[in-house]
Amino acid sequence: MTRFLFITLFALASLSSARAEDLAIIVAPGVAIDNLSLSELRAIFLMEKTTINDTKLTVLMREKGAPERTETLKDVYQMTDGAYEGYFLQAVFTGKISSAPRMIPSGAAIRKIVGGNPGMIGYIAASAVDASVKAVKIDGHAPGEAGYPLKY
Amino acid sequence: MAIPSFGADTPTDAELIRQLAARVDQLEKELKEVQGAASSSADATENTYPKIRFNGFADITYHATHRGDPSHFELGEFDLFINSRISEKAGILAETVVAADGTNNFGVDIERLIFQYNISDAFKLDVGRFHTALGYYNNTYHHGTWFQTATGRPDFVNYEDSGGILPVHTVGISLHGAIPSGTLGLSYFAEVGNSHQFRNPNLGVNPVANVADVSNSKAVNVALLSRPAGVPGLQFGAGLYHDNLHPDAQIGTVENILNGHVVFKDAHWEFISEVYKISHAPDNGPTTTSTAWFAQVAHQFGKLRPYVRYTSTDIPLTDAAYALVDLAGKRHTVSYGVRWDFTDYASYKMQLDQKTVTGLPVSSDLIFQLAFTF
Repeated sequence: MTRFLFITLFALASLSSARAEDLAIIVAPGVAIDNLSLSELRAIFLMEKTTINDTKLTVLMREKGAPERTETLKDVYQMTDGAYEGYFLQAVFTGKISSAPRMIPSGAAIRKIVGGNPGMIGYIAASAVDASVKAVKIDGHAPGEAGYPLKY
Repeated sequence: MAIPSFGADTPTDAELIRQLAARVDQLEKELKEVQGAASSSADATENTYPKIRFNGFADITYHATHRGDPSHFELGEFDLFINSRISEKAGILAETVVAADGTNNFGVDIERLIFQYNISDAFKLDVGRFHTALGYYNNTYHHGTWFQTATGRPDFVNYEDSGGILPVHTVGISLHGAIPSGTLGLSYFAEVGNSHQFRNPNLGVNPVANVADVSNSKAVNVALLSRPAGVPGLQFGAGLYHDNLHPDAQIGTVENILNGHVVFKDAHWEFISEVYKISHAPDNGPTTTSTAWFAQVAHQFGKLRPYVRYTSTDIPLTDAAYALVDLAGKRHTVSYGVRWDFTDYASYKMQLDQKTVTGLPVSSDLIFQLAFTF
C-alpha cells in the first residue's frame, strides 16, 4: 500500500512539472521598482534603457538551453538565440553598449546575485522567488495573477 | 538510484524511506555547493577593469564585371575591433582597418577611435573619430560587411575615399542620449567636429580631417530619432548637418545636408530608406542642390535573406565641390541579391548591381562575397 502511494505521488509530481510556470522578473527587495510595462522591460533587457526610478540596472541572463531563457527571448526580446547574439554583437560594435548581458548558470545563482545587489535585474521561475528578492509586476500583474504575460 | 522492486527480499518501507531521504539530503548539499561556486565566480569578475574585448571582421569577394574593371577576387577590409571598459562609466572603442587600394598595396586606417563616457541614459559623450550621425545606415553599419544584408554600402553612403558624397566620419565630439518621451522613444545626437574636406584626389590628402582643419569654423550635426514602443522594430528620424567647406582650401562654401530616414526591422522583414538634400552655397557663385536617396527591402526565409535595393544620386555638374572629386552627375544603381547565413558568424552573399551613370552605358557587376566575424 505504501509503495503504491509512493509511486502515485511520484507520478503526480512528474505531471505537475509539465504545467505552465510563470517567469518572475526579480530585483533586490529595497529597490524602488514595483511595476514595469512590458515595453519598459524590453528596453531594459535590450540595454536601451539602463535607469528606472533613479536605479541603474544591469541585466542578468541565463545560459543557453534554460527554459527561462527561451521564454525571455520569446516574449521579452522577441528574438531567436541567433538574433539575440547578432543584436548584442552589433550593439557593441556600434558603441551603444560595452558588452552583452552577463550569463549566469542557474536560477539560484541569479536569485543570490540579484538579492545581494540593488543594481541587478534578472528572471527566475516564480516558484523559486523567496524573501531574498522581489518579483516585479509586469503591466500591473504579479506572477500568479491572471493576465501575467510571462509564462513558460 | 535503484527503482524499488516488488520481490520477496525488498527492504522494509521505513528503510526505503530512510535511504531516499538521505539521498535527497546529499543531492541538495551538492547542488548548493555548485550554485555557490557559480555565483561567487560571477560576482568576482564583475568589477575588474579594464575589461577588453576583441572582434574581427573581414570579407573576400569575387567581382564578375561587365563594362567595368576586369573580373577579380578582392580581399576586403580586415577590420580589427577593440572595445574596452575602463570604469563603470567610461570605455574605449577602436576600429582599425587594413585594406588594399587600387595599386594592390595595403594601408592602415584608424577608422574609429572613441573615448566614451556615459553620464546617464540621456547624456552620453563620445570624443574622437566616429561615424557621423547621418541617417540610419551610417550610424548602424561601420566597417564590417558581415553586419550588412548587402555586399556593401549604398553608393553615395560609401566612405569619403571610396566615392561617397557624405561626411561619413567626424573627428570631434558627439553628445547623444534618450529624451524622456514615454512610448515615443525619442533620442538625439548633437555633434561638432572638423570640416568635411574636399581636396583634389591627386594631392593624396586624406578627405577626413584627422589632425588638421582648413579653418576655425567647425561642422555641426544634429539629429532626432524615434523608436516608438508601440511598433517594435520601427525607427524614423531626421537631421541637419551644417559646415563651411573650403574646397582645395580656397573658396568658402556653406554646406547644409538635410536628411531623413524610415526603417523597419523584425525577425522577418527589413526595410531601410533614407533621403538627403545637400545644398552647396559658394561665396562666389549660385547655390546648387543635390539629392540622394535609397530604399532597401529584404525578407528572411530561414537562413536565406533575399533583398533588393535602389540607389539614386543627382548632383548638378555646376557643383564645384563635388566636381573637384569627380562626383557630379546622375547615377542610379539597382541591386538584387541573396544572403545565406550558413553559420552563426559567416555569411555568403550573391548580388547583381546594375549601375547607370548619365552619359555612360549601363554597367553590371556580379558579386560573390564571403563575409565573417571572429
